[in-house]
Amino acid sequence: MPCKDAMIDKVISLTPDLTIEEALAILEAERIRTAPVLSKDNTLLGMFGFMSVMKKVLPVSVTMADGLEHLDFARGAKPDIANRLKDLKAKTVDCAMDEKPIVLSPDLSVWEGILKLTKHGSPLPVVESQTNTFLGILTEQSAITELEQITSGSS
Amino acid sequence: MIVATVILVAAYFFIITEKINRAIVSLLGAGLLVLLGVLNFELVVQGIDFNTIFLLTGMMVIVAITKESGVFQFVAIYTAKLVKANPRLLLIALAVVTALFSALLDNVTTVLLVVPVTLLLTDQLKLRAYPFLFSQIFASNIGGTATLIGDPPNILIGSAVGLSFMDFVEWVSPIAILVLVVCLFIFDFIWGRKMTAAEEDKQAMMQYNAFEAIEDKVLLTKSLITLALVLFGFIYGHGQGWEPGTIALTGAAFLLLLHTLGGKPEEQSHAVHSAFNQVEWETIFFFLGLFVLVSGVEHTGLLKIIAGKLLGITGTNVELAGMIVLYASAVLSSIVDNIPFVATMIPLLKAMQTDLGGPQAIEPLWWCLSLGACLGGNGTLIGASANVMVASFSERAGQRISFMQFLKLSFPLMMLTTVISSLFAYIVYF
Repeated sequence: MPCKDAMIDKVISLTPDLTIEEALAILEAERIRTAPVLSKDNTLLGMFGFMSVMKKVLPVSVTMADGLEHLDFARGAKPDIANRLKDLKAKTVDCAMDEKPIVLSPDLSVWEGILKLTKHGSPLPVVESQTNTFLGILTEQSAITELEQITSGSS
Repeated sequence: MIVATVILVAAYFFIITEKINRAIVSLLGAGLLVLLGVLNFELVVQGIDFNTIFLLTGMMVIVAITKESGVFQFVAIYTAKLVKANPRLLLIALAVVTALFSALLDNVTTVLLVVPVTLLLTDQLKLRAYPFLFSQIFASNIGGTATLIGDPPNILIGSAVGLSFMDFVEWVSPIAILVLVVCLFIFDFIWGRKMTAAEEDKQAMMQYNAFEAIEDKVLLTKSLITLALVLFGFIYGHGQGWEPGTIALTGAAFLLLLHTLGGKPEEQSHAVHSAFNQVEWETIFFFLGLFVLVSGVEHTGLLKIIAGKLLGITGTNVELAGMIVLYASAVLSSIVDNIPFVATMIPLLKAMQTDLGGPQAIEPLWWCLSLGACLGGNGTLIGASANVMVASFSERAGQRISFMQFLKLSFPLMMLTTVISSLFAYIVYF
């Protein structure tokens, strides 16, 4: 069974020129954590969510590869982090989105899709390999729902 | 001889141009020397300096475990608070901390530990990171020059010639300290005296609790005990005939024992596996291959021919030989990897020692080689692995350091440190 059978194809998406404040409002209103960022021709540009914002408010010395692993010594940094969030909200989505998300191809087996969900978290975008055209997202719920439908169908 | 020369020249070409990973090049070259009959297996084993291999591996394991305690970050943050988050003093203080770490750890490990904290502190104080990173590159290479274990060229020289930890402390550390002080004055003049930070940012940093950086106090105690014993071993052991490699590797085993004692077998296995995983095996295998390559060229008599040519220039004048070694190694090390250079220079200088008056007479040449090879690394952004690592960190932090921007100050400053070293050498060594 391929991933395209288990994916959700009607999803809330964002555009790169939205401000982060607007994008966060959409995520909150739609009660979702992450959404794909798409171009006008439906190409996947990246993924944006609350986690993207959290990563951006942390100092780069922590988020970069081989950076600091702990910040428990950094007391008194709270106002600074709050200010960073305030500054960040005025910027656009393309400044904070994950530009190289893990993507799934529509013909990938659901087993592999589930394995990637357990490794990289949910949701994962499904795109056409050649064109990067966005097709949908595979989530924990959509994968489990599809598996349940198979077992209920076979019984 | 021709086969060995061709293999060595080809290997050096690929190591210098970095077209192929240096460990692969050296191992492949070593393998070819054996397969083509230049060396047999016995000569291969004889050619490998296991003291250097053990010293590097042992110290890498000790540092891998020690850094988990968070002690290095603690020292950096504690120092920042000690200077009251004053940017001008912070520039000096972090460079001194880097130099001290680098004297005990390898340079790449040092910058891996210090640079992320530096980026955090400069971020907090809203300062440009470049002056701090530049000064730390210099400090790491100068600090590494100061001791037997600070930089691989010193390990190679110390092991091949039988120079002790205290020999380096006596003959190289003073000049390293002098050179560091001069550089710090220059850094202060160029950048430090103009640095300012907002009072609220300084106050935020002063609220940092350095002690929270210590992740494991028990591990910290065990690590410090081991480090103290290993240092004692380096100082005391030379007279007893203990090789530094033996001391470092035994120290690593001792710390692993303390670290895993009382744990379940699978926990012990995991801890040992994790520590060994952090050994830079690329460097270790590079050394193994390199020793065989140099041994091959030495065995064929090529180095004796080159030594003869060099003696034609220097005659029996040790001072002149020393100055040539110092300046040539400084300039070359700023462009190419100083490890293969030093590994080749060691048998070359040994081949010259009889004509220059024996082992005692050429001892200053070893110090000149050490100073040139280690300080030369400061000349360019690719002069030492630590420089490349700092540049990579800086780029990841969105503050790219350009090769030419670095070169404009680094090369003249490196040459200044070499001139100071040569004056020191002329007055003290000869």
